[in-house]
Amino acid sequence: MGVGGLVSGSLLLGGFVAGLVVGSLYGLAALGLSIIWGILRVVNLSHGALIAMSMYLAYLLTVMHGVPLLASILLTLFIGFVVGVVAYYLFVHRVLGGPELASLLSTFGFGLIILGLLELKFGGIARTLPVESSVIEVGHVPIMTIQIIGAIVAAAIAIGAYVLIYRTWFGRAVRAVVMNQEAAALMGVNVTKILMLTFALGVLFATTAGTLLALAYSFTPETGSKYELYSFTIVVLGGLGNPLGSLIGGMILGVAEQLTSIVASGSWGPLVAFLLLIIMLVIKPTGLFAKL
Amino acid sequence: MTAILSVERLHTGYGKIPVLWDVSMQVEKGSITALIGSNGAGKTTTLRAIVGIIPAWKGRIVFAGEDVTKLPSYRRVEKGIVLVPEGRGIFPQMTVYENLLMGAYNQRARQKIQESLERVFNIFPRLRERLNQKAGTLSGGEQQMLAIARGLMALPRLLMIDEASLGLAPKLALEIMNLVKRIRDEEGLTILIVEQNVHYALNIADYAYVLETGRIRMEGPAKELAENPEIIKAYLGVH
Ligand SMILES: Nc1ncnc2c1ncn2[C@@H]1O[C@H](COP(=O)(O)OP(=O)(O)OP(=O)(O)O)[C@@H](O)[C@H]1O
Ligand SMILES: [Mg+2]
Repeated sequence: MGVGGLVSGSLLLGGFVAGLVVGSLYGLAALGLSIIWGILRVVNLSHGALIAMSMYLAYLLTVMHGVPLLASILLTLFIGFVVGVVAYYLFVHRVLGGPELASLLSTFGFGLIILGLLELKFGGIARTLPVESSVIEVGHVPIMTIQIIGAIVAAAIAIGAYVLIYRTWFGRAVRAVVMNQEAAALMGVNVTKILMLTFALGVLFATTAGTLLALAYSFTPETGSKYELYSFTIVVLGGLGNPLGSLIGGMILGVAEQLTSIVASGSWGPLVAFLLLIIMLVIKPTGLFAKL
Repeated sequence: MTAILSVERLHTGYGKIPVLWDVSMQVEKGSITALIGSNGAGKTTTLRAIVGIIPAWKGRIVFAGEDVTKLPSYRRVEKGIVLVPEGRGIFPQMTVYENLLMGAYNQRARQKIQESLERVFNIFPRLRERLNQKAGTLSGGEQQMLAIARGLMALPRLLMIDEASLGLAPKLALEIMNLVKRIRDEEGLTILIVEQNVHYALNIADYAYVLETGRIRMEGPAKELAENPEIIKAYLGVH
């Protein structure tokens, strides 16, 4: 550390880059929360548990069943999407359009089930994935190559989601459903299918982010709740349902967290997120970017 | 004459509350048929049941010889049953162009978007000039035109229009009515209209049904109904 509390410029540069890298993963996780919230009007309180689930799925496949890393990542994502589809019908479909509390309770309950199963099978010990990756240093801050790849993948997915929503038939149907569900049905849109796919896509984004985060960080069943808090912050920062807003909001949070960990300590991350959340809610509760 | 749409002894309602009792009606191919009746009679409910937004409790809906009663609305749209809803139901934050594309959402219509656009601009030239405007910022008349144009983009075989003239100045309402008639005359499209303004409706329709508190009270050729003393008294308001 810098002498007498001074932090060198290159360390700050390193922290900045590391923040962008990890922040794009936070952004992808938040996007999962954001599209479900923005489009189904459901605050998915199983979000963090689903992130944790994906981490343990990848762990189960690689460590306990010896599946090669890339294959187990892809398998995890596939399972994540299927879980999203099933969870939609079990926990979301029937509470749509009902009182807000119904969907909060039902997704919260679903999250508790996931967390209970994870505790039961894996206990609370921190786990890591067996990842071998070269490390590059940016201004004395080490960043794993695989994290950089993960960040690029996450950013590409967020941009892809933007294109999907604003430039395709599927996306137009999604926006139509948001604006006027009955009118969308009158255009021949299968509204239930659109809502189900949107939910599954949201879960897929969350589990993708979880899997990519697990490549670089250790995790316990509780880890998901930290990323859930981050996701809420980012949704408030970036605006509801806007993929690019989520990505940029994630990067802002990532940079804030990494810089804080350089000048103070890594454990300050959630506090920083919370502060950002409160500041945003006070000065611009609608987010920095337009919503969907 | 063959009926493209046949509603047979339809019962339906909302929740447990019945709204329609034993409604039967036929729409002849290539005709303009009007469904008239006072506020709350169940006209909108009838159209929503025909397109499948609400289910039929009893009875059948037969379209082009096929029983569609159990089909979800998106399948019925695919078959060509298209409703321009009361209140227009345009997508306000989408542009006029995106609204038109949404009209052509069904697979059959997607194949013909360019032709459909030309056809729609021919009828509603004003929309061409406003393609990139957000639909929510259009005037009421323009929104109604967009709603009908969007319905045409779906390549309907039966176009149902709920209250096309609602909230429009008389001159504009008349213009829209004449456009509806023109669409039928030029393209032979079958049209079912619901209208508050019974005078307008009977003027362009070939045949009409009168709905009162959920039941069909009267039916007949529009010209005859227009001269029927009961209709004149109840709906055409001689002062
Ligand atoms: N979504 C709904 N839920 C419950 N009841 C409804 C609903 N929509 C309509 N109704 C009721 O059904 C009855 C028929 O309504 P409907 O909208 O079909 O009438 P309408 O003939 O179209 O009237 P208007 O000329 O005012 O448009 C009314 O008593 C109305 O209150
Ligand atoms: Mg009505």
